[in-house]
Amino acid sequence: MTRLTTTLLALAALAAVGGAGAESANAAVTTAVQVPGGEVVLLFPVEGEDVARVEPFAIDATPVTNAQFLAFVREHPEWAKGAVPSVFASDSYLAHWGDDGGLGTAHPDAPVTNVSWFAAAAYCEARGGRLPTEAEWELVARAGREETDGYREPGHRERVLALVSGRRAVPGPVGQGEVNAYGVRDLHGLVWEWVFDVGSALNTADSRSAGDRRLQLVCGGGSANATDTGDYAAFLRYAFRSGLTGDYAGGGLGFRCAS
Amino acid sequence: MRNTRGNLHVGAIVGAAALVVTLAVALALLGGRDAAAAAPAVAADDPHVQHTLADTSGQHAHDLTINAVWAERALRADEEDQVPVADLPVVVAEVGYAPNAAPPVNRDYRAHVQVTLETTEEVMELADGVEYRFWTFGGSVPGPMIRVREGDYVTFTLQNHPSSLMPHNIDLHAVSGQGGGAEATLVSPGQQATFAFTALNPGVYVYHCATAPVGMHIANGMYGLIVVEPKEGFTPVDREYYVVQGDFYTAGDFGERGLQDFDMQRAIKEDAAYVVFNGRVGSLTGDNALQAKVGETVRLFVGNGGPNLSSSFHVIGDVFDRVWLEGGAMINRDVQTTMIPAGGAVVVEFDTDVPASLTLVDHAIFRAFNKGAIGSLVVTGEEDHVVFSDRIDIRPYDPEATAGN
Amino acid sequence: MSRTLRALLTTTAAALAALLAACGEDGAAASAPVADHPSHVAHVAATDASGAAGHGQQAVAHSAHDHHAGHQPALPAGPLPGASLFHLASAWTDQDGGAFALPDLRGRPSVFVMFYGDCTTACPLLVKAAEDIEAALPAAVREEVEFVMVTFATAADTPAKLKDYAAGKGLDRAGWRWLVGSPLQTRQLATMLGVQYRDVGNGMFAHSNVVTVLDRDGVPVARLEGLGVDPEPAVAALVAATE
Repeated sequence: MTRLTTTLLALAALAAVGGAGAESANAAVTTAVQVPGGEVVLLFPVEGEDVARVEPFAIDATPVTNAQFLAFVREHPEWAKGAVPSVFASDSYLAHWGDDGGLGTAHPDAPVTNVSWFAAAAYCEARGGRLPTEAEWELVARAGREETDGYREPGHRERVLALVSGRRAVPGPVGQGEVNAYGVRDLHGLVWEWVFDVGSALNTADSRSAGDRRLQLVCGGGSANATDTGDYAAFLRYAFRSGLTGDYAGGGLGFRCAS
Repeated sequence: MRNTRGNLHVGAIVGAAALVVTLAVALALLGGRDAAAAAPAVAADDPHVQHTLADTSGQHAHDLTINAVWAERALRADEEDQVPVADLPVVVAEVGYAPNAAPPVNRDYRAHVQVTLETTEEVMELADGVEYRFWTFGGSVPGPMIRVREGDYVTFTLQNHPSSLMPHNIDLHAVSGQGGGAEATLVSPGQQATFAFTALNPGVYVYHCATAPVGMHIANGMYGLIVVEPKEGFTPVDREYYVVQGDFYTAGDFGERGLQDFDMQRAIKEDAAYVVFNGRVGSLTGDNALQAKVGETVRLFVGNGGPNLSSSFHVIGDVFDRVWLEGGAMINRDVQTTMIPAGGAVVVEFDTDVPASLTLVDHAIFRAFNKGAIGSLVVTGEEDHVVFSDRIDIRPYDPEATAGN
Repeated sequence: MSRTLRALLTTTAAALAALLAACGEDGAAASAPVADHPSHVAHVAATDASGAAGHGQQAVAHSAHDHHAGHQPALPAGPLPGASLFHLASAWTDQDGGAFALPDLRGRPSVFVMFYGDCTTACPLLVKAAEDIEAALPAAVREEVEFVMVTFATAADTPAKLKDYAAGKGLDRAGWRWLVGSPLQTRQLATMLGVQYRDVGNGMFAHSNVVTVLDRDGVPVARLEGLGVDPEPAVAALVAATE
């Protein structure tokens, strides 16, 4: 039996190496990472909701790339550049791709950007998944290098802020960033990412009035004041999301899928 | 000396007073003569010299009540304020890029003013060899100076360049309305938004980005001034300049070369690495110094974008003849140093009397000499040795030698 | 090395090679989690009525037509405008358990409200606002307008529950459509309408209060945000849309 065990272990190691080799050699395969459930404190919780409970889920380790999205578009030509009605995507949809149905000068392994929420949702749906919810995304993004709660690591917030502030205007290939405690990469240093519940933050565009319960506009509680005033990267992220509409297709915004 | 009732005799009092006066006069005469002996003679016929202060007071006479007119009356509704917006003439605002102020409004009627600002994020120099990722209005720190007239209807468009990574918006302190316009103008990269307001209050106001985290947006340079002239306008002066102080929080210390990151902890602790005028060390020194001539009246619109620090604003070598307290209608006179709160502004006016290199500083003095809060205004022209002489005399001083005599 | 071991290694190597080939260069099969078979993904896409099918295509051709409304005007000719909400062609279930898709509305102006059944504060006022709009319309206009009430509570608000809710308000009648759909299409519709909502647990939703008027082609022409708002702009827009 010992020999068999050794053999199986060797084969497992071979498979692991082979799998990793496949990923780096060709970004067309995205590993999905299993994330156990948990509780996440959102930056702007809704009144009466202290924490958001998240069930176990899987999430892509890296954002969806240009190459992957191109494959989707070829199968679903209604999502080709120029073919999408304005209600689903603004004029800048896939602006960085070529006009001949290919990627043009866009790097195949860079995260796909200039995609609207509708396009991202359709992609994930076509793959049998969905966009991650804001709570799921924030749970995964909270992790540091070792701890799933990055706040326990000294300098974590500063590191994340530096990653976000130092983003390049044209993002590089996925998979280059540090992997976090969940095994997920590129949450902060590449692009902003769509979440499923875009319109769920319920805060106004002016965060200074976030404490107002604007009863007329919102039923069930507007967003309370921010829970952690020291997490500037989170503020930047929430502020960015609060200005989004579903048809927005901007150069710094991509997505990854969950299931 | 006391009379029968125990009070001082009147005569004694008068006599004592006379004695004091005599002594005082004697001292004055003696003292004056000594001083006169020590000073070099000024040629009585030197045409370049004003011999008495009486000659100066008439040259720069102002109606010192100009702001008082604005202060005394309530916000008024004149006939021009009744005109429907659709019937107003349309004017495109002319802005001013620091250190140049926007030109005076020069209009005596109400208008519909169109203002457009673009937000960009760009790497620029904070000091020699030090680069920083600034977030800007109009590609500069401070953003451009906007200038409108009391009662104007302003249509404001904010454009966020597609290369930006962050959303931005604007809060203009001159606006009466939700967030000063912040909610109405939140724009993602590649978007623009428009809103309108009436400039109800005259004054000098800060504008800044108010997107979360607000401190970071301001700390990265997103501020400027909007000036609302009262209907009567401001008194014309010879020079107007536009200066805005700001504090910067970099990971590296002052002067550390390279591309510096914003340091959130330092900002929260209010531990500024740089305190500068107009967005960089040296923006107003050397070749960039402001200019004026002797005999001119200079007006500085000075804002303080913060984000944290107040400014003890002083110009070394001159006195502020008039200070529009906090950019409002009250004028103070003869002031050396004036406070500008973070998110506030002031207007200072001074008449230049002698040639000099005047130095603008935040008089919290280590900021001036160790963090960059220093600038120059070079005044050229004719000397006036009565108002100010250069060194008259210098010689060795030995306390021992004097005592021994 | 024993024969067994060699055989095992060879088989495994072959399997690995096959796996790498299938999930490799061919972009068409790409991006599925390793567990998913490419053909399964395509199958899901084709038959998932609540999701990707029909996006961006000419909606009229692809939806289930349900003509509960007695009045059936001629469909406007020409392609759907880019801003039309009818591009969202997936099928919903109405209070009678029938299938209904937004393109079915083409040719009639409509009023959209998103709510949920267990909402006790704002939603009754929202529904009342819709009723007020209906009451203010001239009869000829009223006949053409469809009021579409869509629930956030995709699990709790079953068609039967919607029917009860509507009947309780006297609104289970012609011209009023009460819909429930999948979480995805509900979020899609809300995103198009600019309605914000979130599930705060215990069957409660925090949401913004919006009434939207669409023209015959499904393009939004009026929007009331908040409660206690003057319905006049919505009424005017509906009258204009029927001219």
